[in-house]
Amino acid sequence: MHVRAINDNQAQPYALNKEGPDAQLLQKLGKLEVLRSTLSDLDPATSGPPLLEREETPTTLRNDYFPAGWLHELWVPNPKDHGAAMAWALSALRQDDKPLLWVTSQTILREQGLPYGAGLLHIGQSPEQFILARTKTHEDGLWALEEAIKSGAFGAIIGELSDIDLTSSRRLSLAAQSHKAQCLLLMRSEAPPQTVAYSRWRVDATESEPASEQTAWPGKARLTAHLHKHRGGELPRETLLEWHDAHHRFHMVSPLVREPLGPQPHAQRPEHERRATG
Amino acid sequence: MRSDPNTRDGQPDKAFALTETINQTQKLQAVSLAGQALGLLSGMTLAEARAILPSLDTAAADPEADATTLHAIARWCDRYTPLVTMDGVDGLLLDISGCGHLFGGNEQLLADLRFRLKRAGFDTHIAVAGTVGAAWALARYAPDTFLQTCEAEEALKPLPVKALRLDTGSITTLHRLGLKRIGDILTLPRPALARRFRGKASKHVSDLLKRLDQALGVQSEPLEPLQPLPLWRLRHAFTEPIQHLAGIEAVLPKLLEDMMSILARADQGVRRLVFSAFRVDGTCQDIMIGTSRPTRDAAHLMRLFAEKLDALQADFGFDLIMLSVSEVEALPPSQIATIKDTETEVTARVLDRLSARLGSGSVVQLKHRHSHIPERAQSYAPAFAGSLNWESMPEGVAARPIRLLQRPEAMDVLAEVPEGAPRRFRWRRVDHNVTRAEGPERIGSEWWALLADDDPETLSRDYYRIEVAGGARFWVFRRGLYEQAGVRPAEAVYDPLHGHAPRWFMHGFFA
Repeated sequence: MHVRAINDNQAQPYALNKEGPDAQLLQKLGKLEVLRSTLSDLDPATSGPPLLEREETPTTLRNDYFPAGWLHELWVPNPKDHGAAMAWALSALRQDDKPLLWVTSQTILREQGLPYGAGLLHIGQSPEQFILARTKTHEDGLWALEEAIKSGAFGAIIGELSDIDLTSSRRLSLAAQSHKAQCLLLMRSEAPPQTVAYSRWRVDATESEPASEQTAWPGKARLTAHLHKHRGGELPRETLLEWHDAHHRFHMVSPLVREPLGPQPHAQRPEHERRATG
Repeated sequence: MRSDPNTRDGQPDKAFALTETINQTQKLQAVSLAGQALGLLSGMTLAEARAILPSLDTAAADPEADATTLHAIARWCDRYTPLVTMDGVDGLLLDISGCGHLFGGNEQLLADLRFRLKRAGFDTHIAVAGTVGAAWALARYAPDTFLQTCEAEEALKPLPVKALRLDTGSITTLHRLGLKRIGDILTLPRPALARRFRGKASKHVSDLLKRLDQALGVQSEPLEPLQPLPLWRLRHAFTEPIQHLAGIEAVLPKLLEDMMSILARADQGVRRLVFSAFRVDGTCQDIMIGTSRPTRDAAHLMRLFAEKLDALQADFGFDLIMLSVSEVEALPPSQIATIKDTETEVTARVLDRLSARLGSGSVVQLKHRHSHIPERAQSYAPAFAGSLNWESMPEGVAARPIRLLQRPEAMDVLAEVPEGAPRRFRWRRVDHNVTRAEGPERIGSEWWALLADDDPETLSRDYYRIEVAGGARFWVFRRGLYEQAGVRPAEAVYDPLHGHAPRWFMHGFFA
């Protein structure tokens, strides 16, 4: 069985095997897990949206990856993937007529460049609604994020940080909850950040599929999003997303699309079908 | 108000002088009172002074520090009148018209000024007159004279001609003519005066007459204030200097509320507000806040100030605070606000707070500029300050990256294809293999910008959208062209005069 990734900063799920040699240890782990889920039920911060809604339609299918009122996190371990993560963050956030605040630091601007209005227009974002806050120090950045969350003046708030500690992320998370703000942290760090975010996605840019075999052009942008942690109880998984030009957003790519169409090989036909024909 | 030689080392009875080097000669710049009693004068050479008093204690003058101190005092004098200007290296001019009643009369104002400067360690010579020229003359040659407007002529008569702010040449000429006092000149008829200074000296006479007229108030002489005059100003004096910010935080909201009621009567809203705190030691500290929309909300303005009050250094305590409105915009009273209005207002306020703490110019919007050079096609404007011009962006431009490096960064191309995107390159110490590429999009130089021939900006750029192994998509360009078409770059011979070897740059990032 998979252990739910509640309250778990370690990304990898681990299997419990009762027959294994370390049965005692596993029993302890099981107890620990029970204790954890009890604790997370007690803590109001972890009891997410109503259970039924969540179970029926996973966030990915509703295309609502980052529900409002929670702090979310996109972790970009590799600097080259930053652009992909930025586009996903912008396109996946709720669009209304309130402006979007992009809090960033001088260091990241030097490393990753400045948001470019003409490019934002290309991915369907309005530069008129885009406000850029450049901060000099880490503390200023956190302060600006918290202030913006509490103001309720922005449709979405995105913070580009290279580091954050548990206490600061807890502050932001509580502020986001009490003000029902849509807040997302774009973490540029090699090591997994230590946060209390509701969900953490690791983003890797992925090679695109060209429009045809002949063309040498890059196809539509693709990225792989790895769900590492979800306090709403979704299982860790990997999702391949592809840009859709008309919808101005990323859509899930079904892995089946890549397999060649045509009749299935005889050997792979199901047992009962073979019996019926033969 | 020279750097005061009297109080140095706390020994007022000791002869002491500041020296400066003029034309490789050391001269006395300022002499203490004890020194003056012994016959030492400023302007005397040091050798001469040492002949009078061999044990004379000296120190080098520091004109820059003097100027800084004088400037600080000038700013501090803002507490008496907004019209303060610096006069030469050792004087200040204050226009106190209409300010006296705030202190209980002009005499009280001057007594206060003298007392506070004395306490801060400065000796002053003060005079009041109806004109700048008369005040200048009296302060230097008959200090502590307080004139009413019409008495200038009588008071000036006994003063030496030097008091008219003339250059040394004119003074020498006047002395030669036996005109030593201002009264001597006043008795002469003006045509006669002009006759005496015929020829080259006619410039002198026009200067003399101008200075004379200015001193008597016949010709006007405007003051240029050190700082632009505020539109409204409120002040609050403390009976005892306060050393804790809590004191200021308690008073400032009241000042703000008073100011807002004044502005409400004028239908104006604040755009820029300056808070000045005057310290006991004769310096002044300013805190400026700006708002993105005109406002009359005292609580909001107080929050903006609260972010910055920590910067104040109270050392000996503040004895006066002042609030000046330096920029306003019409803000008629409105009756019912729509939800949209309220939202805009809320956004404007949080943006004010953000820029108050992060610094002006930190909270911006992206603005379109008419340039086809990518890094010049965008500028930054304060949030919601006006049109951002995105609607005028040309249609049908090829895809642009979502992030652009402020400066294109050179990269090392490891495997090159002539007239095509590179196969392999190294950028920021990481090797990338290019798997797909789209391009080129050629962007020419701005020929109308009058660039020098060897400026790399004159070269065109060929932009490629490339995808590297692992998936990231970049915007790179090649600056310049391969001079010989169809020749492999490694074999091409570049003309050192005309052909720049093409170089590759990383410029932006796509999704």
